Amino acid sequence: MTQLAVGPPGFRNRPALRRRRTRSAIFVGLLIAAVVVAVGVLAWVLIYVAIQGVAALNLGFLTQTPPGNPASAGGGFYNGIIGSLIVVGIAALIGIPLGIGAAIYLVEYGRGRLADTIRFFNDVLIGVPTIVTGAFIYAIWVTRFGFSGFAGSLALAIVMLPLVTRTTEEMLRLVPNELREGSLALGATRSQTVMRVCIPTALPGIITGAMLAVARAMGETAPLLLTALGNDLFTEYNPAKRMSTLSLQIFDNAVTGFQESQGRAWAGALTLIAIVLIFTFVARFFGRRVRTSND
Amino acid sequence: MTDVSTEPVPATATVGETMTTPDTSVEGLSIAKLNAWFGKHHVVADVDLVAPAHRVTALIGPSGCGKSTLLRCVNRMHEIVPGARAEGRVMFSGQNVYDADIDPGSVRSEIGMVFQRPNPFPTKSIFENAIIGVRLAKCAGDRNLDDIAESALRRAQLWDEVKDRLGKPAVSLSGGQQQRLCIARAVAVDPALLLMDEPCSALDPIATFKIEELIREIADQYTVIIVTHNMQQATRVSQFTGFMTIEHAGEPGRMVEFGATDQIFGSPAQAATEAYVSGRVG
Amino acid sequence: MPPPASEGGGIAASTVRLSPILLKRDRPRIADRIFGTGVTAMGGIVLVLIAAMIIFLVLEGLPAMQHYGFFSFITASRWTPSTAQPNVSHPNPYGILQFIYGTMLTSIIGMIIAVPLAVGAALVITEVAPQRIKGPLSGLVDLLAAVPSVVYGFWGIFALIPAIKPIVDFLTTTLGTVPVIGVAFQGPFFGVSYFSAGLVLAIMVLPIIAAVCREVFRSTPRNEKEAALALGATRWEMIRIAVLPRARSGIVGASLLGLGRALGETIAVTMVIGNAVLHINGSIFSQGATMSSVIANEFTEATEPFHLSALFVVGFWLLIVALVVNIIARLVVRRGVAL
Repeated sequence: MTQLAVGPPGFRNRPALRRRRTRSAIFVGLLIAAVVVAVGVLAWVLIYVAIQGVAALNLGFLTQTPPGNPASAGGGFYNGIIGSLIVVGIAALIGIPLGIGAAIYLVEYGRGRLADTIRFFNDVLIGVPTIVTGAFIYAIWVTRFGFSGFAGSLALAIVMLPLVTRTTEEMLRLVPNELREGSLALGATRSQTVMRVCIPTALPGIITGAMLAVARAMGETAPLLLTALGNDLFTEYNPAKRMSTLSLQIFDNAVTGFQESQGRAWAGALTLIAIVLIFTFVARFFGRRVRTSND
Repeated sequence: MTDVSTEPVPATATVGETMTTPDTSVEGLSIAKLNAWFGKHHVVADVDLVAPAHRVTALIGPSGCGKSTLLRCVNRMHEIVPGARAEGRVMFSGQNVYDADIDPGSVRSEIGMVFQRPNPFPTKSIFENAIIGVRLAKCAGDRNLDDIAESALRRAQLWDEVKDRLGKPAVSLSGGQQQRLCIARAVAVDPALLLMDEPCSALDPIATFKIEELIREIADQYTVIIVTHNMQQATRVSQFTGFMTIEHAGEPGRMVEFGATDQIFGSPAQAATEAYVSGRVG
Repeated sequence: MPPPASEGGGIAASTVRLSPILLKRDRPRIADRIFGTGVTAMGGIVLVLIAAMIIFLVLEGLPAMQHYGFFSFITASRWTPSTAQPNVSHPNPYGILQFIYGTMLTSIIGMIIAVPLAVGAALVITEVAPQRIKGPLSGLVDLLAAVPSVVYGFWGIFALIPAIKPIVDFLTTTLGTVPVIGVAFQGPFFGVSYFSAGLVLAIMVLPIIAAVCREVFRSTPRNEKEAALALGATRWEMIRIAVLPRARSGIVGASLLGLGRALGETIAVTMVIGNAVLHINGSIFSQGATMSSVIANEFTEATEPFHLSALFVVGFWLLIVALVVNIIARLVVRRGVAL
């Protein structure tokens, strides 16, 4: 008859456990190192840009255009800032409503295969390289109408559209079905229910998604290379002509050999990061309030 | 004990007997041979019912017997769910709600519904919630929206509690208050028929008491059909009761017995009814 | 007590309706129908766009493809636009093999670095970090995705490359001299290179992979984790037993999504890869080019015969590769993971 071997109680000092504990500590330490590297690189990038950019950043930078001679100091990226506002602004006017409309379709109207296909390819569109988007707009628009800020807006609208659709769809799905039923039971039509109940209820989250899409569009450069082309000379306010954006101007100035131009590019990079981060933080702050109020 | 009117009541109907469906009065509702499905799943079978005008009719039965589905068929809310359909005659104001060319939206604008969980619109104020049905149907006429709101909120017995904060968001109210606001929202458009789907099941006893009181008060102006799983509630608020049940699992729900509330609970004619109301079953 | 009411019209309270309610028949709901059609059309735009992109890139690339033949782009070994002539169709001066190589190489380098870091970061955020810092930590990692690509490229040139130069120089003198594999690690290292581009790509795709992995790890059923801990498993053992096994397909999907992003990244890569478009260079420390970088670089100055059209051929292939990778990635990553 076998007897169960019962050892003396003493859970703490089994050698196997000690070895396992050390191993766990090592591996977890490696994991923590991974996070430290990730956050460390983020800090490195932000701090480096801040240091380089602060040197050249002043009020003049934000209000003046670059000097005619790239080797001379002073001047600024006013034309790029204005261009970014105009190009991204028009892109937002096109992309955000279309994105919200597509989300409304997916949540409130879409059924079956077609809706699933549209949703799937919406996510796929997010992954299309933005340079390809730029080449596409070049092919259908620039070849006919020339380079322009508006062409850049079209390209950026394509970048923003699937992002807005996805976040808006998520937010609309969070609207409790009871609200839709309450509205329909009062005799409202489907469109009235969507516009008067669903959209207002989901609005904070929709705004968050839209702002994140705008932040993303502000940072894009590649599609604009082939559409808006850039204009480093003077400030262009007419979107039918070629325009510079902040991202384009940073790119153009960063790769020149002139230190002064590069200094301006750093200031531009700092400005761009600041704008993008502000948008991102405000959008996230909005989003957090949505989540807590829905719980 | 409920008030029982002295006028003749509709005969108790049993399964198999055809009920004479009197041509409905202006208010009141009669249902004939109503069937409902979710896709292929048959959930309500051959229901006949008359809900007399200006009375409260309760629908009772074990959970899953189709009483909520039946209720939602009356104002054509059942078909909102994809794949759901209903067939039968639902006579309301002399017209069959299920006629081919009747617009479901207009049916719903004329019939009020209160749901199990209060569902005021969270982005709108108390005032806006009260009158939104009026706004949608554009039926204010030359009446003032403020007057409409006050009248509805009074009927819902909520006016005194909210009259000083009509602009506040509806979600700032307690559960019971929200449900009364939903009742106000439903009655603001002056519907002839009010459908209530277990309106108190998500509320505490005090809120429940207030709403039952409210139902008794407005019953003389509206025809009310209330689904409830609480038999005591049925005896407290209704004059007529219909008992529905499923005979075996997987079968559709049927109306087993319908009659005066006193009679259904006091001396039910069907064995199944007796088993349910005595608490032995369900 | 409700007053008695007879059938057929009541005389009770004054609020009772005296005339029958007429239900509206066929109330014209034009506005509702227009709305429904409108949003459906907006939904369909996505499909139209993707189809249109493929079609128009092919149309623009057609002249070059017809002139030189469809497969010659992959079989030709050099990209020498200056030798292109309108009536000479052989050999194809627009060989794109080195761009495909460059895209693949930089993306693979990026993935090798990013995936372990991202999985590690996601594990820390979900399993290791104390409750209070989970949120901020997660937000910081996500912030990596918010930095514009041109800023990464700029920082890459002036901060990253100088920092890695000593290490890479060391590697070229050691690994680079080893027989056989040494070819891949040879110097000279001028800073801009496939490797530098791979590093920058790693940073850019890390947040995407980490975000998806976070959701995957978060969905580990709690009672499985508790079962492991109740058996006396250490933290690492619990992760190994309960979290990682379930997450395998999720990690693969996350990596594919990151790969899709890396393939298409243009500006940051252009700035640190050196744009040597002539042919494939064997060492990862040498300069090169990718499909997206060559388009960005040469588009506005494509004056040679068939040059612009050839760039559209590159763009077409880039789109196809990106679509395939993204479609596979999305099929693997179920929609429940919000990214």
